[in-house]
Amino acid sequence: MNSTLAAWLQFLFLVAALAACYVPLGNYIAKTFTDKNHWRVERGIYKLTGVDPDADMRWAVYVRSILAFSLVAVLFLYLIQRTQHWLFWSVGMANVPTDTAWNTAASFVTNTNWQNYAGEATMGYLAQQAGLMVQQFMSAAVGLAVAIAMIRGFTRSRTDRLGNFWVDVTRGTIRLLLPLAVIGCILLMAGGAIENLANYHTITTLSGAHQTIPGGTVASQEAIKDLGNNGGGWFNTNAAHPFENPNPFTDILIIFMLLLIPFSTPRAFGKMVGDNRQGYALVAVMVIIWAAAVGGVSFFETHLGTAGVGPQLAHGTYEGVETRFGPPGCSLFAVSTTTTSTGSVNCFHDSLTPFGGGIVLLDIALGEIAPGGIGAGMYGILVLAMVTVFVAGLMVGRTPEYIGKKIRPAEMKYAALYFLTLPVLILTFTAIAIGTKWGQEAIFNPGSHGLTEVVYAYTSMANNNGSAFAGLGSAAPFYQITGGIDMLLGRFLPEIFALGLAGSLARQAPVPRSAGTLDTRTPLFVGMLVGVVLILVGLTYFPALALGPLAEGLH
Amino acid sequence: MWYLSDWFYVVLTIVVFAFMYLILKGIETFER
Repeated sequence: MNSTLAAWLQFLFLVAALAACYVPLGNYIAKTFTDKNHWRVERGIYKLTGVDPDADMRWAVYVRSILAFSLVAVLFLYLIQRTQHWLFWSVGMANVPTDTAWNTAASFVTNTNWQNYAGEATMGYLAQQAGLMVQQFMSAAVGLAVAIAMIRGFTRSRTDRLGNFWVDVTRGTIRLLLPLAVIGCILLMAGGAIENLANYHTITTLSGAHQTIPGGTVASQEAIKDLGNNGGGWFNTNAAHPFENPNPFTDILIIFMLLLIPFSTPRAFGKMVGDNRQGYALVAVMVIIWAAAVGGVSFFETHLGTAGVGPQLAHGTYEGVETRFGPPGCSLFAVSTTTTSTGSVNCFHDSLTPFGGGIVLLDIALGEIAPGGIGAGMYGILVLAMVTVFVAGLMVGRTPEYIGKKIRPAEMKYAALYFLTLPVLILTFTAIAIGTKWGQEAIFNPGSHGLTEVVYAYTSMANNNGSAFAGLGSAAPFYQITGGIDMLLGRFLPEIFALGLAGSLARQAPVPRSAGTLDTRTPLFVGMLVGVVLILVGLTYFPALALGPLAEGLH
Repeated sequence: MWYLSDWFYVVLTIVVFAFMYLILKGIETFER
């Protein structure tokens, strides 16, 4: 089959599958978090942990719960890695070095899954299962909980209560993530991904060399890794490894899983606020940006006139691309993994053409709102929608309201803090890296490409994506420490501001619709929101993009 | 055996979370 036709069929099949799941999964997510009854297993967990499931939290208490939960999680994950050699199921792995263990702990608790190590040569089975995989469930559930609390800011009035963090995390894990992960694991195993606790096998190859064949519970980790937009991988090469992603069926399944929950969450939003058209408007924005990015990267990776002499001679941009999937499969995966907060890869992002690489960098810089990470995409686009309503109010004299709540200076201050946090982190750390010898020593590529690698690294970590432009020595202590701080602040500071905004909205009385209310369910609003997203990000990151991928591409 | 660098990273973790907690307290104070 013609590869262009195959790419189109794959794209259309993916869109159809996601569209089919939008209503049922979105309704199920809404029901999960609005159900008045607790399941028996949930009641058991609450009893065991001393949680009162019917106690509602103020926004600040909700935030404190997140911070306390995550602090303990970072320390626990660090401890497991630092002691794994003395624990069972280490499969002979040494204790993880301190800087890598800390960076990894910060990475997995923040849903980033940035990896400075080769998983199959560093982590034993216990660290993978009880450490990393547990956090893949927990960090995803935390992100979803924040989004649900944010939605409650719209649905509740004259209260300072946003729900119960422990109940939201428990329900998100037990009712949503676990069942989907079991199904995903079985499908991946059916597709050929491995799932075992076998010791590594050393075999003699036909040429007489020795090769170590790793094992592992790969399919189960792959499922939650994608469904929870965690990223990374059991293997260093992530989804380019045949044990993790054996064939085109598992490849499209992985892409489907990493887009599934983020694209369905707007439906849950629409359902919870009692107006499904609000959900359709937000998902339309997500689809437009995601589809445009897929088209852009596919164009630059398959039209060889833009790729330079080497790819033209090879009849394809095959450097760093897994030949089983080719440039179209790489493009679809790369965009889907960077528009969500996944970060797992099936090809080498550093090998993308300058413009293709620039687009995936922009995807992450957008704040991952199209469709974004699990939960994080939802609260990110809600803040942007409020900014759009405010801007529209200034431009055409409409009352700045969104879903029956006024957007006042207090809400705009939270929105401004939310959007200033990541650029400040990313650009400050990048400036320190390129301005000091500690950072410069680990930049292995000169010129604009080297700058792109540094910008990409801090953008990916702050936005909790986790994918990387290799070529940067990010295992150097400087990048391990600054990267860990970047991930922690990039994850939790925006969540603090988002929940503060939700608390502010919840305290308001509802505002009835009037002739002056801007209708946020129309194509006009969708177009305005897309424009605000691009302008806001464009103005913030354009200088860095101009000196990095744009300069390299135009050279 | 616990190395000095282990304590460094434990303290660093606590400092980063304490910083975020202070931001939260600051916002709460500002709100009131």
